[in-house]
Amino acid sequence: MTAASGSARGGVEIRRLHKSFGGVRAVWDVSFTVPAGKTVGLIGPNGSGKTTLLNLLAGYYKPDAGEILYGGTDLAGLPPERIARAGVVRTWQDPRIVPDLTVAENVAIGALARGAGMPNDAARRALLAESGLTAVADTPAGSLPYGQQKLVAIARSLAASPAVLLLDEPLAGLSAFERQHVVALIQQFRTTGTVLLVDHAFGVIAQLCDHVVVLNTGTKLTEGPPGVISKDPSVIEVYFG
Amino acid sequence: MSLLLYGLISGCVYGLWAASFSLIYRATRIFHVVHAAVFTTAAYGYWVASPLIGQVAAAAFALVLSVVLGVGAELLLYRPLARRGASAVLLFVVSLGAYIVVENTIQLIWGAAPRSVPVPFDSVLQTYVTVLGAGVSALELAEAGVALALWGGLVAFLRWTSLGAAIRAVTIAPELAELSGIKVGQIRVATFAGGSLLIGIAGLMMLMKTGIEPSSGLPVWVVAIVATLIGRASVVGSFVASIGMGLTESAMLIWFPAAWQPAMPVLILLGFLVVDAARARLVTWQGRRLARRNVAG
Amino acid sequence: MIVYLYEVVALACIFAIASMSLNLVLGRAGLFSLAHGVLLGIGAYIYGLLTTQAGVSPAVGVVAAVVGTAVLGAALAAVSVHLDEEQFAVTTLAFNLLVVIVLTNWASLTRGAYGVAQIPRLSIGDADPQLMLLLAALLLAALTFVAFRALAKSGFGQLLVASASDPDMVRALGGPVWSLRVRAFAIGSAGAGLAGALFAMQAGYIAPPLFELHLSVLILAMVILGGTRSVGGAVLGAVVLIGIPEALRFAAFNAVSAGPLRQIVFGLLIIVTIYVRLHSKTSRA
Ligand SMILES: Nc1ncnc2c1ncn2[C@@H]1O[C@H](COP(=O)(O)OP(=O)(O)OP(=O)(O)O)[C@@H](O)[C@H]1O
Ligand SMILES: [Mg+2]
Repeated sequence: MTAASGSARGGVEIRRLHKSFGGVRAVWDVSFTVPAGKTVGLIGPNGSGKTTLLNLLAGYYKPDAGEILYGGTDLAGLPPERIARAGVVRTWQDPRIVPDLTVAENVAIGALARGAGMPNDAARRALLAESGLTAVADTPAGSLPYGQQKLVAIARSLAASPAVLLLDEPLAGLSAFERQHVVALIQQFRTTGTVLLVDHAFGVIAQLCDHVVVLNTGTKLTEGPPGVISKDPSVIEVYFG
Repeated sequence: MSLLLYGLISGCVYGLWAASFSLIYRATRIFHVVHAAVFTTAAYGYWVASPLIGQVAAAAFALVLSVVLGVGAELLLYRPLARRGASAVLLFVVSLGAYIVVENTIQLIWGAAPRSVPVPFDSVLQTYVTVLGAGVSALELAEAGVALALWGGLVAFLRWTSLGAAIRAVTIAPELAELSGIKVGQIRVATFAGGSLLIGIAGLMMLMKTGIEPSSGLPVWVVAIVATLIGRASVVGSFVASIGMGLTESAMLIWFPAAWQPAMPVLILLGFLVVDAARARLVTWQGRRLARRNVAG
Repeated sequence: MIVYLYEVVALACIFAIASMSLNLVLGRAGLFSLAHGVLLGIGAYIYGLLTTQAGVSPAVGVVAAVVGTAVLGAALAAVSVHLDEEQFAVTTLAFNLLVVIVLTNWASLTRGAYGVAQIPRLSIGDADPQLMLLLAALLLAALTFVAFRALAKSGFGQLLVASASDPDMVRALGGPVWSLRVRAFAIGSAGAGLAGALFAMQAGYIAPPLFELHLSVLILAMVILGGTRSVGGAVLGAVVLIGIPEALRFAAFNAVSAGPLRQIVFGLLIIVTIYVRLHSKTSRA
């Protein structure tokens, strides 16, 4: 790594990112910045390219063109494990937990995978408590309901102690009670870290985000503070028009 | 020159093995090891039956046996297990288990010794002919010809009959095929029947040419699967790969004693995979180098 | 009679070591290897050739077998663990066939089809060598059990399970899946090498046909029978599958038919075990 990555708690700058699948322009010439320590919302109708953008940031896809600057490094095209070890960690729309491992073991994967070793007991218990998972810590994660599995997945990504957290629809499919836990987790994380939050629940986006980027059919429609975006007629148009 | 001819002849025979396997593999994605047992079963069926009921009836009996065994594997093993959620690799292991059962049952009953039969039409097939300045037996030429003809027939069948079109549909997009009213289960059975028939014929061919023993099937399966993997599972591609393997094997005879010959398909497979792996890692390294350069610049 | 019992128990311990090590590879790392029997064979040959041809002491021979097999296993894994499950299984199967061909044909190194005879055992003073071997096998099996249990429960073991279940997820969290798998396979191969060295001592004579595909399938059957998730189960599988044929031998099967019959039993066991396991899984759900 380079000296530039010393600013580990840095923001992410996306410059003119492109990705097509065959003829489908999933992400087309998208640029925006997630400033260090801020929470940015990424919204857009179904199929607008939000997940693809996250896949590009996390190294799951290689961009056709464009740069992803993070602490002075271009992450574009790096393998996912390198990106994660540099501090950029993601979640998925699906929980993607390991069904046979217990909840506590699943959460520990986050720390183990980046080579941090087994987390100590106190840290582990604190994280489980904050996620509301203490009672089920020793249950196989596969036997939990969907919403709790998603909580496990978010706790797992937090256990990786990321600098930047990329969350893909963390609230979708959750009960009101589970949502509270997720919102609390994000709120606590954003006091020290940077977040890119993809979701359809605009209420929560408005509550958590400093800034919102709107995608439509792979391109950036507009961006701005949540209060402005919620009144933007073009945004209302693509969502409801 | 003669090596070239031998290479082509064995390449055609390998092509039949590969085509029969890839017909099934394309439609089902099962590493069907029982295929190897079908090969030996056909040969033993013929060997046992021909003194009793004559050559023609015995051949028919052997081929029916092949189809029954191949289709039986699908209906009694793969289908019920797949319905219970068995992964591809579990089906592979089950298939390997079934192969071991068949091979050892044959050995238990008839022993491990090689078996052979008199060549049919021996007045013609046992003569030697000179092709391209090399002497080969008419039997070998005939077998290569039969293999080529069967393969050509298979290609034509897939291309121009409605059943062939259905098989291709199931191969390319099983869900879509199901939706468009094709009975996927029946089509799979058809590929098992067809593939087993072809490998049964190949088993009879080997019995007549060199004789057969209980363990003869597995090397045949290895050749078939290597050609199928290299030929990207297409019936044409795997045949081309088979010809290439036949020629490589001939060329190897220049440098290695014949005892090393079974190593050929395995070496080709490992070489193919190693090159593939190296390519995959090279891409990653290039990615890293690029990234590092970007950082520096 | 007592000597015969020693032999059977020692053999069960040797195969328990082999199946526990495959349990790590298959049950934890999710790598469906059909090369474990031939890796055991490589260990046996390294031990046998070094002690009989190069005058190496048995203790050094065992260490060399463990290390050498681990290195070869790592090399095989390095080019194959990125493949999908079935391709990996086929590659290891091909490796198995290839090694047997090499052992048979590279006669100047391996003594070819003649095999290696008069392989020495570990010995201390003038203790009964069969008893010594039994004790060594028991001790090493116990150590292997402790080590592989610890490994399975460790963070490394958890990461292996996670990368078997969802490799992309583990990579996205920073886990080096390729190197995790190569390490797991190398450790498993080391276990196979240890079992091989002991096997060579026990048998006294080794030849290529011993290590054909059926041996890999036998070890695989032990692991599947015992349940891929438990190290103790692997031991149980080894004890049962070594015990059954020995019992059959007493039931007056002659030597010729015992071979194929044994294979048929193993083949059927594999099919039935997988069938039963899937059945209980689906009926629970
Ligand atoms: N691997 C792929 N291959 C082909 N097309 C893809 C692939 N991934 C995404 N796409 C296409 O790219 C477009 C953007 O998809 P993406 O999943 O990024 O949307 P999204 O904004 O996350 O939608 P949603 O809100 O439904 O999650 C869609 O048209 C999708 O079909
Ligand atoms: Mg999405």
